[in-house]
Amino acid sequence: MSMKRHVAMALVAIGCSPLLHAADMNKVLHAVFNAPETGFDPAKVSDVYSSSITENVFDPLLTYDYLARPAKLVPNTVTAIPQLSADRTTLVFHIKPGIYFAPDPAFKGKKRELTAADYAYTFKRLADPTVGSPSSYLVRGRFVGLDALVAKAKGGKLDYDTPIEGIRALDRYTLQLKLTEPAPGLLYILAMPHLGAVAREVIEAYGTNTNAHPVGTGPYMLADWKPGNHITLVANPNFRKIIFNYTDNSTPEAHRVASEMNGKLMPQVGRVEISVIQEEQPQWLAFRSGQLDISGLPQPAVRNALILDPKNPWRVALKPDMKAKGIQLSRKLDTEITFYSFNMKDPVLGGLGKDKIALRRAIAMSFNNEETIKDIRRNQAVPVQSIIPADVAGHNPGMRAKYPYNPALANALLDKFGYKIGPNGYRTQPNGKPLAVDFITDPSAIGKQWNEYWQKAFDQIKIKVNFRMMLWNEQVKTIRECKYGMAGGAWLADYPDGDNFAMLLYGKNIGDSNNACYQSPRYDALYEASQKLGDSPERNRLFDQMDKVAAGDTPWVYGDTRFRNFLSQRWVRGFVPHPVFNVAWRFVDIQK
Amino acid sequence: MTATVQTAPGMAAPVSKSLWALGWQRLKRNKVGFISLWVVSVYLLIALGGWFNVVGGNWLNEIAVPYAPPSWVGASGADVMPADAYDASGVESSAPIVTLARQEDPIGKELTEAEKDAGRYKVEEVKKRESLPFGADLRGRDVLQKTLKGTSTSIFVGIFGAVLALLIGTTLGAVSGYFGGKIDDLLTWFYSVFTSVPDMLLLLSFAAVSGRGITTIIMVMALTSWTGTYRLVRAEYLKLKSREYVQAASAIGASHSRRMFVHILPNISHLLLVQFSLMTVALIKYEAILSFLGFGVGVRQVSLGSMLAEAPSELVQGYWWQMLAVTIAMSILVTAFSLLVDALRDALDPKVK
Repeated sequence: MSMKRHVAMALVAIGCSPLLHAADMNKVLHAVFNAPETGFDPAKVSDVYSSSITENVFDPLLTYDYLARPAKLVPNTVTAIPQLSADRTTLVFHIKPGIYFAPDPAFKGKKRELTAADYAYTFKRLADPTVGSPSSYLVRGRFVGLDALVAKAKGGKLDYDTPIEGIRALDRYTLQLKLTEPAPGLLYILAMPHLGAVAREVIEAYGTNTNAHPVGTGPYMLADWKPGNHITLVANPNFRKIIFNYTDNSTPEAHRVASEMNGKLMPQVGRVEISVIQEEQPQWLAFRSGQLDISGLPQPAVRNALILDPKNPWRVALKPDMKAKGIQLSRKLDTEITFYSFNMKDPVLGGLGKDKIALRRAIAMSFNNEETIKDIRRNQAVPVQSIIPADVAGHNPGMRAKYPYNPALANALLDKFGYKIGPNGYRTQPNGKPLAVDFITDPSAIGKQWNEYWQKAFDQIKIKVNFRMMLWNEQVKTIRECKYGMAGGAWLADYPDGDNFAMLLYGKNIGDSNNACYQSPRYDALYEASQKLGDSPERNRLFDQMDKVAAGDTPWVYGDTRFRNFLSQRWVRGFVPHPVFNVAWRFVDIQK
Repeated sequence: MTATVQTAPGMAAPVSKSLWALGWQRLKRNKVGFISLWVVSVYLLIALGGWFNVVGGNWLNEIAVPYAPPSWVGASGADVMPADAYDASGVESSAPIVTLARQEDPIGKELTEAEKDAGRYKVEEVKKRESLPFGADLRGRDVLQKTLKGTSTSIFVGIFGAVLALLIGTTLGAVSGYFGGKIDDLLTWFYSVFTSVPDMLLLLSFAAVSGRGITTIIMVMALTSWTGTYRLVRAEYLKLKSREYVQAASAIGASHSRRMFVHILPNISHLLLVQFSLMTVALIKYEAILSFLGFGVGVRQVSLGSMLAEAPSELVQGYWWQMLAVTIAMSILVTAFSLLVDALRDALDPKVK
């Protein structure tokens, strides 16, 4: 309980004060993306890089406290986090008056205020079949009348003007949400950047090109975009006044951030310049030469920058030369899981037959995860043992769902199911047809390293593998269409609740986030039951069962959860990695 | 100029020496060229050894610890962890361990049965070495072996790519130059289409649509680099087809193909040799570029280019030995080959006495 008192409201909005300095346009923050973004329409993007932009441009109803750990929800554009009605299905939000959208030609020179209707439009739009949102799972089936409205659209235009009971603007500033059934994860969902308010006239003005014209009420707006290369954000002149007022002093990091930022206006940095640098070496060199202000520490540079404790991966120190330059290190275990998914619809690998399960299990058992953690991750990771990672509600630290590395057993298992070794030294399918695994991978140097370890794994169990090279955004498309054999994947928490991870294997999410195209009646039933419960021991028991079902059916090879090392230059103030936010640009300051 | 006609191979005159003999004499006089010839021969031997797995056949074996340093490099002092190290560790969890029990596992019964047979597949653990003569790569493979095998692959790709390209270029060039007219127009148009696209772009687009592996690289490179040979051969045929010796051959009833390949071809063979050597060097370099960009050899093969592709991430960590080995191997090979080509061109030029 004392913890809760510490984490008092971090951000307090007040009126004007002459002493406060708004964003200084001369303060430029240089940041980096490791992969190209896809666009900035919150309804149309789901990758980390694009969401890093949308979370700074758009305002969801709720947001997170910057310092509280584990992450804690706080109101964003609403006056308070609403209380559920007695039947746990109705929520009423009161939007703060005086929040304005960033200027845009679509508003015809007028200042446009954020209203409850904007949120109603935004939520309905996620379900709009013509939008084809990868985040439609966030709203579909949740709100009373929404699915019926979508069904009426029959793949054509959604009628936004028909009022539905589930999503209603009661007046200019009041939004009422009615749920089909209690959904405890909903508040987290309402804090996701995908549900940040868009203005209908902007969306309609830009038609199919909304990805290039993000207009929101957030602290930043898009100034320049060279797709896949460079993005420039500038402070939104219409952004409401928010003064940093951190009262949490529980950790040294929180104390530092509070002393550096308290009393300042959000955002302090006037421009954010983001470069897309896909290879790790140039990124590292750019940081060392001071061209980047905040950067993740790329894996190959770990040895250069950090002193590691070979016995305890949790303990590290900066090398003396970096320390002398005033470089700051922040570190956390990501709220993520990485995995290699099998396409469960693949004729060779997919399916729930015992022989197919055995094949997938054998592949999973032949991959030496410990070795890749040691060699490629430089001990900066821990193995994934459950669908739900640490620091996420519903995580079971005792779960051991990973199949131990055992190529000998894998071989014996394949023998058992009739995957015979043919005259060419490779195994065939039980029906005698040739067996080859289609493996999607990217052509980068680091991709090739992983492929070598995978090649070794497949060699050990004498299965032929064909690596198919494609760039990351092509991979996403191919995976969503279930037209592959195996592919690597990673999922970072959108919100710190187990539901956000458990849904990765839910049958109805095929084509969205269910990379494995996995559909199991047992898993789906457990997932649907878990959705009716809040964070509780009952739900944890369901999660444990889901973990076991998935471990049994083997749609995934479990990977690792990485430590994330962030380095920031001497002049960066107020930076701390957040478990949910993709980036911290709006919370930091630069003092050269 | 008539000298070429009289000294064509097969017409060896006892007094005057053939072009090839003269060329050999001139090459021997050229010191740089001669040394290059020896260096290239050594490389070719290595390449031959590589193809038959005599040299570098064990490069895939993981015999050392990851990134084992070269034995002649002193071990660097281990960094000492300061007391105020960043410690993010949480408290060790005391939660009870939950695993998928065999009876809950859909293939649990079979797994238990398979466990009895697993012994057959047990592999002996190999003791990993701490250092190697030229260091090890990420997976602990010997860099020296890898370089030898990589050199062999690169030369293989270079030579066979060049042979194939030469074959395509010569055939098309000969037909085009010899027959002229509509066929010439058509082939020249075809040639123009190919040359209108930048070489590297053409190479990459071909590589992107075809799979990976050595054979595809050879095909891709042959398909994109025949154009230079085509132009050269076509010009030669245009020039030579109206020579007296060709007319004489025609008068005694030699067929078109006989005139093209038995009478004219030997007279441009010295040009083809130079062209072949030039192309081999170029293709070795192209292969390196392709592999560097990730379009090159497959995961299980190694070439100088694929080794170079690993270098950036290694250099950043301070593992320089693989980079050094490749650089030495590649630069000596390419330099020696280029110098040899120069010397060959001089030696085989009929105009030089």
